[in-house]
Amino acid sequence: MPKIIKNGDIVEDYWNYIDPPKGFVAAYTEKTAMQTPAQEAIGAIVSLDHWLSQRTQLLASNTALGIWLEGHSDLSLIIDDLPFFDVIAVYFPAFTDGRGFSLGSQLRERYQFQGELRAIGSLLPDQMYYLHRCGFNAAVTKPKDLQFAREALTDFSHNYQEACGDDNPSL
Amino acid sequence: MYLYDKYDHKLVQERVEQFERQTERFITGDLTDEQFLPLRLQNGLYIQRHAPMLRIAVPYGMLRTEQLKKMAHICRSYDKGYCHITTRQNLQLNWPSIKDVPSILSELAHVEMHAIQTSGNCIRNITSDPLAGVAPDEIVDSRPYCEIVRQWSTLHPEFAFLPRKFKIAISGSTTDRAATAFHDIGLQLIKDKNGAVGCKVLVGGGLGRTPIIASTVCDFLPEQFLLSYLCAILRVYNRLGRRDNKYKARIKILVKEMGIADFSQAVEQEWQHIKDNYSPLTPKDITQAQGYFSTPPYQQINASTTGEQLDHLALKHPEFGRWLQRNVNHHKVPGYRAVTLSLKPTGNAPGDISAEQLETVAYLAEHFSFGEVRTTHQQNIVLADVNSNELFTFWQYAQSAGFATPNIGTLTDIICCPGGDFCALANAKSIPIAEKIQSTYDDIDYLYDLGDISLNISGCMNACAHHHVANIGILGVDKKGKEFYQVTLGGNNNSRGATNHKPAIGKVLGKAFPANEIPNVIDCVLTTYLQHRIEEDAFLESFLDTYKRIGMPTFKENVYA
Repeated sequence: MPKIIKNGDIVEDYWNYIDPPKGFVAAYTEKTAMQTPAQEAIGAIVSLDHWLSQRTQLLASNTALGIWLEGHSDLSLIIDDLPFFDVIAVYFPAFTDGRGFSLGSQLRERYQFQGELRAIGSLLPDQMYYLHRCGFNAAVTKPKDLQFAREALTDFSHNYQEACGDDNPSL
Repeated sequence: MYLYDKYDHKLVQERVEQFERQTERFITGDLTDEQFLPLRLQNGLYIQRHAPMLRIAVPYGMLRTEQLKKMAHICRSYDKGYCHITTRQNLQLNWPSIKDVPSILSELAHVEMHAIQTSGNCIRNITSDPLAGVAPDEIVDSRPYCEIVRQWSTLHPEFAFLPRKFKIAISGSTTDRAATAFHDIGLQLIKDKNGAVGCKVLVGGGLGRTPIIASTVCDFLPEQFLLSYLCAILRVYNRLGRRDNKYKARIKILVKEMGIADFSQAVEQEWQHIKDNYSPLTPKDITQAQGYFSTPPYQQINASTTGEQLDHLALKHPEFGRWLQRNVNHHKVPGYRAVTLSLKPTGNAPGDISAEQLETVAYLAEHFSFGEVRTTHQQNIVLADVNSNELFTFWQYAQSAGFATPNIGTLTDIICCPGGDFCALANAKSIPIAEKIQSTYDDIDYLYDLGDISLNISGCMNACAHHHVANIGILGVDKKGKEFYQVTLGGNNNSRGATNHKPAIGKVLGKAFPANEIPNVIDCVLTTYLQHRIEEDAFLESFLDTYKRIGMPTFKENVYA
């Protein structure tokens, strides 16, 4: 079972992905550990396309739901659906692509999303501190980086500016 | 001047430690070149043509004596005995070795300096008016707002991986000496009719490959909303700015592609949602920030008596008179003056300053200007609070240290990037061109006759020397592996002496020239100006005004004749 950082701890992940981002599975997690056995999974994180085309069926399926978004995803397509999602995963195609930091902040701040906000994709452990401050409370990193990523959550002891994630539990 | 509190010290220290860990991981192979690159850039470390380059932040250009002395020490111990003042008021070391960088950063931290966010795709050092707090035409002192924005933008979690670099300039006077129209965001502090402070917010200005004058996104933003509004602009840019092509990734391109109306609407929408989530800047916050820049203990001076004495000295010592005329600015406190030390004597790479000179500046600041100095966008140094009764003595010191060339605002006060001699991006050398022009126009009388004129030289399209906005701009270009120079005329960024201060981007004169033809070309341009300018009694029409009146064709005919 894959491990993730969540609320400051390294924990097992009980979510499966449906139609995950291309490159995510192969590059950023160990393939074998990617999928949680179906009987143990608590829900599925689906793509935006999948959600838009299968909305009715997914809502009827009685499983917990999550959705993954990209930096350029049009939030207006799902704003009214946010209460259906326990998890929103934001995909970072490259660690230098900082759109996800703003997307996460918008979800928390402008749209008051209360569920799990999870960063997935190409991330450096060095970015955990910033991710947490942008409202993320979970992140997937390469397995070898997990411990270091968790430690990086305490890189700084003070902040100059307000940010939406400051009142959240630790990432 | 702003002094660190315990949080600033802690944060800079933690940043140094974080960077040490990152460097170690890079050395052990845990971080790849590609991964380490943005991390080191955001700590000011470039890899250049001959050596690494370390860019050190000078927030809104302000330095105090102990910092100048520390820089002198660093230049001697870790570099070749000099450093360089950039067009964004920062300091650069051109020859440090990578292994020394952590020690340099640690030494800098002792005097409240660092290299955080001086490079990379993040919010860069805030730049401002070097005469902030002392200019007679000041509406609002910009320094407290600069400090507020500096703190807000430092290690901002949301904006450390933007599509491209992001530069903010703040001015607070009727004359914009901070080039706000040529920044990603320009803030012009103003007062409304009730005296409430706010700012006009400009967005999407910039030079580089696509020079654009900024558009106004908000005519009057009340000061209390400054930070949430900046957040809204940056957020719109961060989400929508192009990331597919680095040359189209600046906010100016987004504003151009969306149109200012749609862009403003997107910002307004975002801001309406978030403005109540952030604490507004309270009068207490502003007063506290103003407290960092309290008025120094000025003496009571009889301005009219000192004025007479200065006139007398100027007659007796013409060189002093010229210096007064060109290098000395009026001050809002009677009897005080703001003095510019010229870093542009002939033979000196514009903006370069040696360790000995840094120490001299520290000495002058300590004895004549309450221990503070400001670096300028024009790559000079301003001592903002000099007592006029001491100006003559000051001038003698400045002269013996080589700082008193009375050429501020003249042809030889050249803004010049490091160019092909140092910079890995450059297409052509820029310093030798500057030196050639300086030595050709060494005659002070001729320079004075030419009057106010700006000449900037950039070694490539990135336009670090802002050649587009100079009255005469020179741009290095590469033609089949050879260095050529394109000349532009008519740019304007608050040009001294011009009747119209509207910012303008220069137009290309014609085909580019090889280096050896540049002096002749400049000579033709200047001769054309002198032939056509209006001269009535004491009035001499400025270069820019003459250019606007007679137009490019006349210059073109003469140059390409």
